[in-house]
Amino acid sequence: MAFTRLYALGLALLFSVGTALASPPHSLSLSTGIDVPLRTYPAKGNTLLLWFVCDEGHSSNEARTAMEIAAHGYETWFPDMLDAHFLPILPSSLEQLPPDEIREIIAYAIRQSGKKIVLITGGHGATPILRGAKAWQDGVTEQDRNALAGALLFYPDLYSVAPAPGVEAQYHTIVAQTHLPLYIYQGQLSPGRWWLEHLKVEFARGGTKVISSILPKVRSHFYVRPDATEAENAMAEKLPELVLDALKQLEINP
Amino acid sequence: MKKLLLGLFCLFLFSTAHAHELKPWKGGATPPLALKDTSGKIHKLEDYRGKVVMVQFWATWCPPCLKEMPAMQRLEKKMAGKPFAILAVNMGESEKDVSEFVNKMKINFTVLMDEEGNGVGAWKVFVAPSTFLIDPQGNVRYTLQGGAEWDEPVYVKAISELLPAK
Repeated sequence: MAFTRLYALGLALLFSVGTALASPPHSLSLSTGIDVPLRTYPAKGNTLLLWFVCDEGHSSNEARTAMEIAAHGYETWFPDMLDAHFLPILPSSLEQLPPDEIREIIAYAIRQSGKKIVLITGGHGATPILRGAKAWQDGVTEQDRNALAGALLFYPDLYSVAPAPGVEAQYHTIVAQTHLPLYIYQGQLSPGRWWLEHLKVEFARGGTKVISSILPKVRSHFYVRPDATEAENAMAEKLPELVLDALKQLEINP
Repeated sequence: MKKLLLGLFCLFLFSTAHAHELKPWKGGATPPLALKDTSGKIHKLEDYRGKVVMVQFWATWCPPCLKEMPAMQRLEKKMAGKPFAILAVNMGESEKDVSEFVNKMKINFTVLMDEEGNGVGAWKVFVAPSTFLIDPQGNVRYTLQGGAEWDEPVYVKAISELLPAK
């Protein structure tokens, strides 16, 4: 009997710890009339990560990462822009996201939390969030700009048109307009690996310094792929470490 | 019977609509290509003058690349006896991994190693697979991005039209 009670108490404790880390899902109403579903993982530090969906959707790896890094003091919010607009999980859907709505989310996060903000996304998600970041920067004073501390991009796809073989790649104009500390993770098993330095040169035109790292034995979207290999699953397990390491190298403390 | 024929017709339309299109080359002069095969022999593109050459950039981690390999094998068989060659350039993998894959898949055409990505850079390859068709004079004529059933009539015809006149 005593053992049963102890077991029940243990389960209750485990449950309470788990739920304490993730706040109940709610939504954020934007001035455009859009309600953005928001999952938040509070933490005590002074940095908040705004993690936007990529073109393969969200996975449980991101939520697990948010829980783990919360223990290091980093708070994470997941605004689901595709769900807010009833858009399918596709690269073309991300292209349609209004930069002003991203700007408004950044402004809300700063206002509401008082913390410095770091943006995270992957693949085609990079274009709308960088556009949103610029829209936010353009609307604040030079002094206030520091509240947006940087961005972490996983395998960003920033081509304005699908690159044709033999033809110089064209990037979205936002690449050369971005002025934000950036960290890029690129999978080794991706043609993007060979063009990372090329992309960094394009970012440098806007005054952005990019720190980057090639992740061995993984393809793009490694942490959201339904057909992930053993190596990709192993790398996805390390997602919290990858995020923490990028933040450390960007010198963004919790 | 009518329904069956209609179904087959629709299937034909669907399959042809989804075939990737060969696009005329717009990249200027033919980029250089001099790479080792899996046994260490250097292959230069200029050594293939007089032949139509298919230069394909691929990787073992790329599903469309693997899907099109059997079609490339069939294409090579169809073109047997004609001045045609396939150079399949592996994008940055180790010789061991590539050799294992080539043996497993029983690939007969020439596989080249581009471990440093020099070919990828010179040929401006952004997507795997990317394929280039080179005429007997050494000029790139067509490109195709993504996988293809290379033994389909549309591709065989395009390649055959590039062959030197007898």
